[in-house]
Amino acid sequence: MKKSTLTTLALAGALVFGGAASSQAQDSGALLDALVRKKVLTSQEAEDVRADLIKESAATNAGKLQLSNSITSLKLYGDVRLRYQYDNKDPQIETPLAGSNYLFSTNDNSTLSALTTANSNKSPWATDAKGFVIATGDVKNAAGKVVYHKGDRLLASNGDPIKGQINPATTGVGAPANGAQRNRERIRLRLAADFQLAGGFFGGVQLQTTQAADSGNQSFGDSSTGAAGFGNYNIYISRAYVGWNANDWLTLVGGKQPNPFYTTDLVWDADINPDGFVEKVDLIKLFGGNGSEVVSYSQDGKQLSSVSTIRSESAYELSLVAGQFVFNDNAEDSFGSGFKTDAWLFNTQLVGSVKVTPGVKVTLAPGYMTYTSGNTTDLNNETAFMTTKSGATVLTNYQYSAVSKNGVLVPVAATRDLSIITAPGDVSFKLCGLKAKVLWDFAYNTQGAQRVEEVYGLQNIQVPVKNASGVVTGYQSAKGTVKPTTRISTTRVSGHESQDDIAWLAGIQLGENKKAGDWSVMANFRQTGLGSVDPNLNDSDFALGQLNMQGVKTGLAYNFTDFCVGAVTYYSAWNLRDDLIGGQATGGQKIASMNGVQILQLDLNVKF
Amino acid sequence: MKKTLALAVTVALSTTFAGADQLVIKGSDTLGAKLVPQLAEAYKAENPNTQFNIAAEGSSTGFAALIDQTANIGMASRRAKPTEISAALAKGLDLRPTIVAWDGIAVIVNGSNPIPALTKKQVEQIFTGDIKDWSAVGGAPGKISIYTRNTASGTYADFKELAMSKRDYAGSSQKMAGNEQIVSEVAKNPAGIGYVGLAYLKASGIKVLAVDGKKPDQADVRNKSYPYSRPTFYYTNGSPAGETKAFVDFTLSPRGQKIVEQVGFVPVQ
Repeated sequence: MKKSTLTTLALAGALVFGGAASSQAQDSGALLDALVRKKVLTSQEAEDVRADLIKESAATNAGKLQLSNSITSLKLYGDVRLRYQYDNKDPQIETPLAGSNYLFSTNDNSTLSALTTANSNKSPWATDAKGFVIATGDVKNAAGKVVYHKGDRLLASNGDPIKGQINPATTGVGAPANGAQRNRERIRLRLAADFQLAGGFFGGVQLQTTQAADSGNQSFGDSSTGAAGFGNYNIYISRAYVGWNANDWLTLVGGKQPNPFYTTDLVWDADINPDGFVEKVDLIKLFGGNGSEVVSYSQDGKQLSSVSTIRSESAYELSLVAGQFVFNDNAEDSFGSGFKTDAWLFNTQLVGSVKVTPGVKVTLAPGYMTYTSGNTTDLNNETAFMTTKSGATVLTNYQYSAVSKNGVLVPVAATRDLSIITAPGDVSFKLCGLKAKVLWDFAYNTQGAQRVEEVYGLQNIQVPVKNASGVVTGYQSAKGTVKPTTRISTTRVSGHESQDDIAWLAGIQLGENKKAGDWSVMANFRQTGLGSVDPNLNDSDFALGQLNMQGVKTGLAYNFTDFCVGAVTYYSAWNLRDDLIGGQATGGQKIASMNGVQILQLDLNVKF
Repeated sequence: MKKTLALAVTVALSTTFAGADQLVIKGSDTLGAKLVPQLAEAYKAENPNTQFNIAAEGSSTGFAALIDQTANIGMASRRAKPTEISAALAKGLDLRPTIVAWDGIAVIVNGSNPIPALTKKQVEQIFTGDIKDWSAVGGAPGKISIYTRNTASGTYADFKELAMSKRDYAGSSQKMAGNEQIVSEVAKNPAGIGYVGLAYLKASGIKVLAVDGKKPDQADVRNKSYPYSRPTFYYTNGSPAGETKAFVDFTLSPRGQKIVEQVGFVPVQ
């Protein structure tokens, strides 16, 4: 009776002190051992209690989960984000270029685009005083037959006269003549697992909606992804990596992994998980100090990571982070030099920080990134810059090649002429009891001129000439000023300016979002020169990833619960230069074709 | 089909024997190589109608046999894993442990090895492969040859937990089927190191090392001051009954515990 009572008490004690049997059975061993040592229980009684606890644990749902013996810890987590996004785009269209096409903002573009001009140096169309489109000369159809004479009103297919505005066009007929608005309701799902293995090994996997490297957003009903009509979504592997803590100062990581660098979204979109290899060296520990582990960085908190900031209690930190990433694997037996070469990104960064006072910490992270010169195809980034369209293997025209200054056609590699010095940093401190941070970023492409002229093909730039009222009265080229409606023959002038090589960002953050009731605000201003950063890596939200932009990003976030955060983010961007014409800037892949972009995002993010 | 039939016959015969005078005992080599056969002989002397079928191929095999209901007793030098308990529960079985003896896992080297002792840290470093040469622990230069039990062994798992911080064994380690094989190999190899239960220390040609200043004698094993002390078990389906209970009771009786001590284990009492 006595033994039975003691056993019951021990079992109760194990449950109380060890927690619920379902999760804590294994942890009760120390308590049972202590009870045996104090002779409260015999070894056999302790063993009976232990067996009961394990049995109870095994009967629970949690107890039925089986993990590999090699796993020493496993963390499962994720988030679901609902987003409403409003975009307002003001595309740049003042772009007369060599060619026979003009842009027509009319009620019947299809009729016009089927016709050719009779005058190679002048638009065949004009708008009369009543708003009708009339021919300024003879207009032929594709067969060469004159279908309109000078002064004739242009007729739609139903015979009605067409009204509208005539503008010079980009090389791509059909570009919008006015701003474009878009509303989207979107969702992003991320499921992640981080695991620790014996022997210092670790790793992680993450699944998420959408394939784009720089966005996990899946728009509701998006027909382009098969989601229209309540179609289901695809799921993609966004992380799969393993690492090894070789010792207390060296960590090696391989695979598709969280961005290991201290950075902002000026250079790296926080959604991107690069593929390749990373080495992290804690220089303080290497040389015998008491350094800290550098795991991964994200200044804006977009990264879904259980460890996303520098972790340290020491006053000084100094780490070297080096990454070798495969940006685009090309088949070595392909045609063209750019297609024979893999596009590798090499990035190295020195991360140093010091606690100036107990509440003030300064972090500096100078770095250098460069690519091997390779072509890129089939990118899924929201604003992708590629060398070729999907499947194209022949260099056909200037959109896919560049003419060097001596007039020789050379293949363009999308990752060519990017040799970028970066220098992000921040000062974190307390303000009115809240965490605060002043942060900045800087990027300078030492090969910006070549990038702008040869890769983006801006030799053919024509600078708009405006009067005092800001009205474009003509275009300046090497041949002199010409009128807006006059097409200019190909004349090569340099389109590069020194500001194209630089990108910078400065901003503030106040507050943090960790538990219910927490709030934070942030604001930053940035300029992103045309040749300063890689358009495939920079933030896809600011100016929709466009280059040659400047503007502000502001945001407010509030924790409704510990796990549910509501956020409002607003971006407003406008041209850094307004004289970019042609090449890949406003033509081709249009990486800098916007006069202005405004974006509003309303988010509800639930973490689990 | 043949395989299924054979299995059915085996189970039926085992069940029949178990229900009559035959005790099927499977599992740990640590217990099954010496101790349990001697206990069985002693028990048979008093109960001549009882037949024993003993197979000592590792603790895992004992749990598997209990779960398959092809054994009355599972010998184990380790506790049942939660996965094994879950598997038993799924079949409506209740694995119950009975401590039958205490054991200490002794670290042994060749008798010619000059090293008298190791620290726990050194043991871990040697068996995980961090230390590869005897000179690193004060011995004569030479590559260390590691002998371990195979993965079905409870001692293999226990040593990993007790001595190696659950780290993996060195890739160069050689896995032996039983304690006696480890003793034999270490006795032949001047550079050898291995671990065995207390019952296997009387062999010639080997030397037991102190670990953190403690050797696995009875007192230190019983009060657990020797770092690699552990209980050994009989596992049964529920509380033992019938012939099984009689044999378990015999094992725990003064006579049975005397045999435990004679073989080299530490008695429960």
